[in-house]
Amino acid sequence: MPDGQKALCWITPAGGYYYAANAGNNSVSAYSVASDGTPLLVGTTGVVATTDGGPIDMAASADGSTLYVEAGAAGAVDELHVNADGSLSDLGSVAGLGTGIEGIAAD
Amino acid sequence: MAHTFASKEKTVSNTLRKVFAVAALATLATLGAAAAAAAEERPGAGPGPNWQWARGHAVFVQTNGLTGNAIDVLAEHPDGRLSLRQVVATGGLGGQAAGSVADTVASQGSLAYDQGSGLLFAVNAMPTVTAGPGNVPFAFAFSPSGQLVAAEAANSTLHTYALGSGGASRA
Repeated sequence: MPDGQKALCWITPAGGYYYAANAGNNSVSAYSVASDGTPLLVGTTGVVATTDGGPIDMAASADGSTLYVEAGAAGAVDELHVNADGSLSDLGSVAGLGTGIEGIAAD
Repeated sequence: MAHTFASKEKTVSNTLRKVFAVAALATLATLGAAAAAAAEERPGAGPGPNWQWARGHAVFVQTNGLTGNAIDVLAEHPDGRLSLRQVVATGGLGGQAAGSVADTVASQGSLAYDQGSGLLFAVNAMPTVTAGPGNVPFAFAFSPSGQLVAAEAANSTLHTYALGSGGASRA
């Protein structure tokens, strides 16, 4: 199930959905998984967020309510609330972490 | 959100040696509570300087700095916002894949938190050095006061393993 975006290399579960970072488009796509295992795009296009430059790895909060997207080119972490329908709401971002950051984890 | 980014470069230098770690460690001390965080928090993020970090949850970001790798500890606020609370050097160096802008380590999961042990494992991706005892990754744990500190490397129960294209080594 392609998401029509560029450089999808990272995927992270949160809130019952799977979020994929599209490094070439500065976007995040969302997938749900059908009962037979088939991945389905959330909404019409699957794109649920625009991010800072170069979204790569991601981490979800312990309760699955927030997705943190590491923007490697921008040196920022975007904070996104995970809604019940799989869409994401922009909470803000932490900038100034330095270009080239890679590796993100949550406890 | 207005940053631009050229298409991702996937080429990895032949000289790049990525170092990965697997480690295990015994039980950690119980975490402390109610550590004030105001002094180290970054203005503009989170609910403000008077917010108290009870060492609830945190998000960790690896700087992957070429002259010194470090871990940024971002306190997680109740509303999901983050604020920088601590920066801890790993003692190693980051790396950069040739031509990369983002995805400098060409990896997912290069920073990992193990819930069972409470340890955070970092990768020091040296750009030109073959994996060896001097290039091992580092493990971190939280002190009773809520500070992220290096796990006791001399502890006989901690073994770190480094894997690279030159083979594997243990430190």
